[in-house]
Amino acid sequence: MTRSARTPRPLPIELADEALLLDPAPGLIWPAERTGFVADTHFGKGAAMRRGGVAVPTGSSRDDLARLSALIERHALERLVVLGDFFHAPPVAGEPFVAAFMAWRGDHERLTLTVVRGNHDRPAADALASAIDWQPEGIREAPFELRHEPLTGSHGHVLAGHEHPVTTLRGPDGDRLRVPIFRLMPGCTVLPAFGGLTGGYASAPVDGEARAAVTPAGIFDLPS
Amino acid sequence: MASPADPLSDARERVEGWFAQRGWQPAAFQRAAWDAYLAGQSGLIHSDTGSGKSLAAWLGPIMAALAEPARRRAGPRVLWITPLRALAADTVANLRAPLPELGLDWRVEQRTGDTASSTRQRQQRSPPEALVTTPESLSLMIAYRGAEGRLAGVDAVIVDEWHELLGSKRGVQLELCLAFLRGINPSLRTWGLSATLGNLDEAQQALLGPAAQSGVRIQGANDKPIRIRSLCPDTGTRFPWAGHLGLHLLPQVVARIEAAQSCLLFTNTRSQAERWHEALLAERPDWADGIALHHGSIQREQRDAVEAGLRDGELRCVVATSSLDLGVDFAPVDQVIQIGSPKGVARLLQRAGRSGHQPGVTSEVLCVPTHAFELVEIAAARRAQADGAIEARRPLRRSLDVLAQHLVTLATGDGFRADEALIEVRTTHAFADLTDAEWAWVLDFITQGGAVLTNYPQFRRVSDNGERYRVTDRGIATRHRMAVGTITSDPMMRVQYRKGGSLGHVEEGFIARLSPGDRFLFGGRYVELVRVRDTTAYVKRASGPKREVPRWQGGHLPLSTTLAAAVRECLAEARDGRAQDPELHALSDLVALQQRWSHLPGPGELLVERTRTRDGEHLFIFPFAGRLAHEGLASLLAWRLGQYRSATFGMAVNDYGLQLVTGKRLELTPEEIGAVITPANLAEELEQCLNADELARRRFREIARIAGLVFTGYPGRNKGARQLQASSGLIFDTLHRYAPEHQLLAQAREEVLSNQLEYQRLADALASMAASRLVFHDTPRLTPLAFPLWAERQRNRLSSEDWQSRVERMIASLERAAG
Repeated sequence: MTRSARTPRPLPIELADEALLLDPAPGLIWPAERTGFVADTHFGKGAAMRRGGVAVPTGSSRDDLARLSALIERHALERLVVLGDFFHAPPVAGEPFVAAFMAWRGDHERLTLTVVRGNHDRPAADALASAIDWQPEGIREAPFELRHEPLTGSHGHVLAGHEHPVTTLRGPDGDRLRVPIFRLMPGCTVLPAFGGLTGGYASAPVDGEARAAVTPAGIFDLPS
Repeated sequence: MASPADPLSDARERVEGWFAQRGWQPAAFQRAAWDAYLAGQSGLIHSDTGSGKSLAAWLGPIMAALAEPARRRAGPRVLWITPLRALAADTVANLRAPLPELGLDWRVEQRTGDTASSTRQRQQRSPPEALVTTPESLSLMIAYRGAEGRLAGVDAVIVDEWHELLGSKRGVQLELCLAFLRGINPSLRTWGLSATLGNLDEAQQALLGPAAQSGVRIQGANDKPIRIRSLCPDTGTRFPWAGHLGLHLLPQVVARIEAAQSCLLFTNTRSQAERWHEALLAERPDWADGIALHHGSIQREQRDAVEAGLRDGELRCVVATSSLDLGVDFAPVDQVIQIGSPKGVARLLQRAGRSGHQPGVTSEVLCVPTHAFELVEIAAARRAQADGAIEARRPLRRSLDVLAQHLVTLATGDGFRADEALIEVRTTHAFADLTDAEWAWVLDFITQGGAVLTNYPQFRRVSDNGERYRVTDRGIATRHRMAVGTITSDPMMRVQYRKGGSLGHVEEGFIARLSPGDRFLFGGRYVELVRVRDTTAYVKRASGPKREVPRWQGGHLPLSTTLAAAVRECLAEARDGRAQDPELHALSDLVALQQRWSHLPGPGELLVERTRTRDGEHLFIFPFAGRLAHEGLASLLAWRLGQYRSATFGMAVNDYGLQLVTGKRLELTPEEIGAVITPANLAEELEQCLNADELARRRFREIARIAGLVFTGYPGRNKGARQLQASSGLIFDTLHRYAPEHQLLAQAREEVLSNQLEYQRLADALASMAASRLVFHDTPRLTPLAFPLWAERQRNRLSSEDWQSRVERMIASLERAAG
């Protein structure tokens, strides 16, 4: 075998001379700082759709919170950073998600929850500020710069979301799979969307980009 | 003679006079249709294209209007439904033609998705007496407040080319709209125009609904005899055993085009059309101005220009797909050529009928086989035509997605009462058997989101104020109206040059398979994909070495059951030397070879061949049940054989048979093979061996769009709606996970079985295979019957494998590609 495709989860990588892990949750783990990054949770999307007349059942936010809990426990995280689009739409009065979220927050009292404000978060202003540490785009966390929209930053290696990157894998027999990916680009890493009710966008790789696929069987390093 | 004081007699005289001025005389069936209409009846007119059936349907309401003492209140009086909006303009012109001379000052206008909103508003203020429209636009008219008042004056609905709508969800949508119109005007008369179908009675029943009992059938003129011939290869030339283009016969086809005044050349797929167009131009560059291309992806204006060129006799040849199957005749066309097997008799006759003709003169359609066995299909089509064995088209039943959409349409309009609506809905053929539970589910779906209230907090779409069900939110109403127009069309992407200049539209799925830099032939031009943004694929002119045309999705219609039966008979006759048809004579060498190397199965025989090649062991099984049924059968048999011997099976199918390939020697005995051919446990085992969920997931796209679970919207408009977008795949997964009992998921699974796998046909085939005598041959070489299957691309199913191995295989494949 030239290059082993099989990788036990999670996949260790090095970014800006720091050792990190790609977790199939999907999230990016910085073990030295006990910090985890996820992007684009889009909480409240199902509710917004239901209010707009699209009959999607509930359950997806609950599962997303459970997946976050699992990620936090798996890596004993002390801090979780959401790289934007925490909310899909601002919560309305009596939104069931708010109660579920506050209960979840109670289960992780000691956790610091930082959210980099994304485009979808803007109308939500600083909602649930007692539970969330809202930060503007571009905050520094040396050697990283945390953003929602990807950009080759001047302050360090950018960690971002926003794109919901996916790619389509093709097998020899016409088999096809559309999977979320991590885009590891020079100067910028884009995380796949975390939210269960989010779609994805395919884009062509840039020069020097490496990609890793997120599948139920773990993270796979994709040949470029 | 009635006295001139009788206004109806006067109207009749005017009509007769109009005919006489043209040197015509009304045909008996036309008179019969008028009489029935004037007697208040509804009915179905079955007649050839170009035989005057439009006038048979149209002049009844016109005479009634002429005989009216005074003008009645405003509002459309006649709705003329056409399946294709592209036909609306022609139809309007045809319907208008006799009116001035008859002295009726009716306005005839069209209202389709192409109609400008200013025109639609004017039509709403001052409605024309006759509207030419599509099922979608009719549905949309109902989705506005005041619809009941505006449409109460409709006396007649005339459905053109009903056979085209029947069997589709648009047909179901129309059935529901008709039930609504009958609800507000119980004396509404419904008339349909249909080409020949194997189930005209059922077609009539579906169209007329509760009026079916008293409905009449008007049998039109069948004065358009059609002769089916084929371009037989010269004896002695080696004819390809497989293939799908047929370009080896190009010189002969060119000669036929040259001999004709104007020629329509039909292909089965768009890619075939592109290739033939290109090949004809390469062969005869001097014809550059006289050859045109017409298919569903090409820009509307360009298609219109091509159609005008055909009518005016300016074009020597138009290469077309089913996009030209419908519509009025092209008088100058005197030659119709069909490339490849038509796969069905009805379709071939429809195409043959597109040539203009003198009454009583035989129209000829020339079929060009793309490979040897298509000769049999052509002979079989001729026999089926002679026997009057035309395919049936089954109307759909219980499509809950369409019902949900229609109820929201009613709620967006004047609202509905549940008890009344249920009675109305049950008058349709599609929902006559709707159960109370299904009805309750649909009501819950549109009011609460789904059956379980707790699963859908905050949901609002349709509300029940205790009296009527209504949509009160303007945003929801607007989005629903937008969605009504898109009942079944696949999401389409615009193909456009980078510097502007639109080339046409193509299914999203086609573009999704391309990468930037890929070249393809589109609308007769080689282009290169530059990038895709929103719903537009930007391309540039391609230069440099040409590349293959990627295959467009679809186009692979299965051989109809009718034709498949005739094919088997033809083959048996050819084997026994009893055949008279020139096609079967041309095939005699091949038939003899098949007999010598193996066997040519007759009715009551099931041929199984086993051949060993470098690739492994091939099993060829020939049920002659059409490619869709064979796909299901191949998976089923592979799965069952896998119970004896663990193995990975490669599979391929065509209309005659299926192939199972294994890399190792299985040493199966004929008894073991025979044992897996049984109808027992079919449904359960089929679910197990197919990746049923994945198939249903794909099928769900259309259902989700119709039922309003995905909203596609329009580019550049209604940005706010972006918040509500999610792909149908995502919605499917969400429902699957959180609402597994959802009725629309059940519908998707049912549609996979009935449409995608032709379950009934599969079951019939399996039963008949089990009852047949199994003829088993170990063949040293691929036989003429087996070769086309061997040449087909193999499709593996991967349902039994886990994620890990699938992904690893894909990565291995990527690595190989990367070198």
